[in-house]
Amino acid sequence: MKLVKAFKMALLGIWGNKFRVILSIFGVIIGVFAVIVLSAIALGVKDTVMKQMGSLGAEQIMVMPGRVLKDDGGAHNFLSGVSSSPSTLTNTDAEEIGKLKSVESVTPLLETVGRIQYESQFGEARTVEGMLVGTSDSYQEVIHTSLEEGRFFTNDEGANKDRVVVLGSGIHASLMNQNQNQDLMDDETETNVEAEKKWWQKLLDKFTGNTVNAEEAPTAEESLVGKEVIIQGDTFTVVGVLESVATLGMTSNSSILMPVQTALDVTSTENLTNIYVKADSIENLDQVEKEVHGAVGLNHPETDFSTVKQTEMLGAIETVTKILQVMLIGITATALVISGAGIMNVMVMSVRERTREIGIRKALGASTLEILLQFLFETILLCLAGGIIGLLLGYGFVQWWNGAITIFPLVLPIWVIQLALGSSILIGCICGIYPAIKAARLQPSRALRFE
Amino acid sequence: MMTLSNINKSYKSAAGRESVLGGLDFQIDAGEYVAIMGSSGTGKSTLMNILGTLERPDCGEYLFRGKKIHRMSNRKLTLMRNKEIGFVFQNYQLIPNLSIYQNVMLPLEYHRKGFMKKRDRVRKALMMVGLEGKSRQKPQQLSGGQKQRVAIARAIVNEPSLLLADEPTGSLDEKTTESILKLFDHLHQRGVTIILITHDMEVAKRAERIMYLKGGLLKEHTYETSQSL
Repeated sequence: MKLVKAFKMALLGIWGNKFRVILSIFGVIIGVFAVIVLSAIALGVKDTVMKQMGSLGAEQIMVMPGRVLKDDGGAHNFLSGVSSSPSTLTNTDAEEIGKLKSVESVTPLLETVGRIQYESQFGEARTVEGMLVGTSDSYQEVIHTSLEEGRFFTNDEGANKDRVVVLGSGIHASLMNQNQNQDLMDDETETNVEAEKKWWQKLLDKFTGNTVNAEEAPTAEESLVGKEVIIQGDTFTVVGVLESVATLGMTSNSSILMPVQTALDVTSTENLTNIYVKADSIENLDQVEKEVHGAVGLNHPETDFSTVKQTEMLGAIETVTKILQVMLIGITATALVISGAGIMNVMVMSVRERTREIGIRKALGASTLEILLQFLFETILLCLAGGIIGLLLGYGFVQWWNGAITIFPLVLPIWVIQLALGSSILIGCICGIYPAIKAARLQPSRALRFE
Repeated sequence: MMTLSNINKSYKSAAGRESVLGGLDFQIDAGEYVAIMGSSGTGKSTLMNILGTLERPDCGEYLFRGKKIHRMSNRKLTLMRNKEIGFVFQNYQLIPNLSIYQNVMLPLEYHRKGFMKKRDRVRKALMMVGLEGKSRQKPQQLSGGQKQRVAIARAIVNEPSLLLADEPTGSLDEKTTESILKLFDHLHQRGVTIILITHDMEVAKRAERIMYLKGGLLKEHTYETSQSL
């Protein structure tokens, strides 16, 4: 009964001091908003990275330059240390691995920065910088991407060191963009695509390095497929364009793909960046890893490379994201503690301001417990109201992000909502105790005389 | 109704303990209308706080309707105050952010009664003071006289046996003072015991008994005491 009365009085107290209420809950709103958004970002990043790495397949083994330290259990531990020796992996190593019966596919990877030039029919030359990737036809399977148009190069083209290239959608769009602009200059009635972009899309493009997104990519009749481009002084034929993929970390939008043999020839290098190996089954993955290690080791007696299983990479990523989560929880907890201190300060001031009111209530029959509960409930209700507003704002932000931004989706599980609301109530309880005790202890006769 | 014997009260001050009430003896019967007069600083408000159980005396006995107030726990005192005593203060002591209705309802909020019964009591109390049409307004929208009427409505809403009024007309004009005193007369006729603290003889004259507080002691009104004031 006392609880109901105190709750009613708390509601009346809040209703009577609306302006103070808005000011006091501002900190809690920001705190809970931070909890929601930062948790959603942390979980979204973790989810996206895990999905990307997981999509490579559990049967994947990566051969990488340098030595990765092993933990007590014998598993590779990326967080313990990776030696940064330059790569000595070669295409011969990839070929040795390919000879193993237990291996389904081998995807060598050579990555370096390169320039690509395209001269339009108007004589306008456009040069774009991109990631030059030498690989095999199994690349599509590893990176989980598909073609927007054209085809992928074949192993035969690789063996012949044919000058064929597949362009990432971003590179393709960038090469086409200037020519589009040339057309636009000729026809002033056309609208400027770039100018039509919203401010946040432009800002996002700056961060992601995309100048043109998938929707603005040129249509098939304006494609570069079948046309010639110049890479590192050599003329290449564009055979395909990759689909636009805008995801966190791994993206092929800025890639210029060519057969690995061609890439080695064009870049005058001998070494690969790493090699992806797919075992024929997950059951004997450990055995396959040993065989792969042995095959590469034939040409590397000093063991300047490592073979890492997909599960070990996922474990490392999970550890990093856990650290990120702990850090974010720390930041948000600090924000909530600061907002709690703000609420406590406001409530202490409120008790001082309302000393006379407390005196009147006590004179008219309010017990010490009723006054204590009234002020405690006021603080809890303030924090809860702030929590709900912060939650709604955070939810709205997550919805907006997921609808408008495609880098990675934010993830908002129910436990984050429970955590946010629970912590705001907890702050109300903790920070409301002191002002409530202060109010309850006031002597009615002194409180009535308070000026 | 109430008996006070050898009531002492002192406060700490820069110069040490300062005695306000020193061995005060006092008795009031049920249904009496008593005015207590005295100069500023003689302890009128302290006496009212003790009578209204808002403060405890340092020593002495206080019997209220046969109950030993000086031995009651704070919880019992609060309950007794809520049921038996109504307060009217000089500066109204209304809660500004509550409506007139909510202000008058306040003593009932701490009293276990059904909502309908509470609403009826508030309506009756406001009707008695002639403010039934103002229940939704806030105190700051009312005149001084109206505010004091609201304070009286709040004081009588619990139908207390004792009404304590501390300078209830101190900040009101003559006409408003008269209307407030008429209300007290009306309550007195209905059997409510009234103790009125005032420094205005014209107001005190409305009471059945006038007492003077001087030197920490209460004395009945006589020609001599009135001359000495």
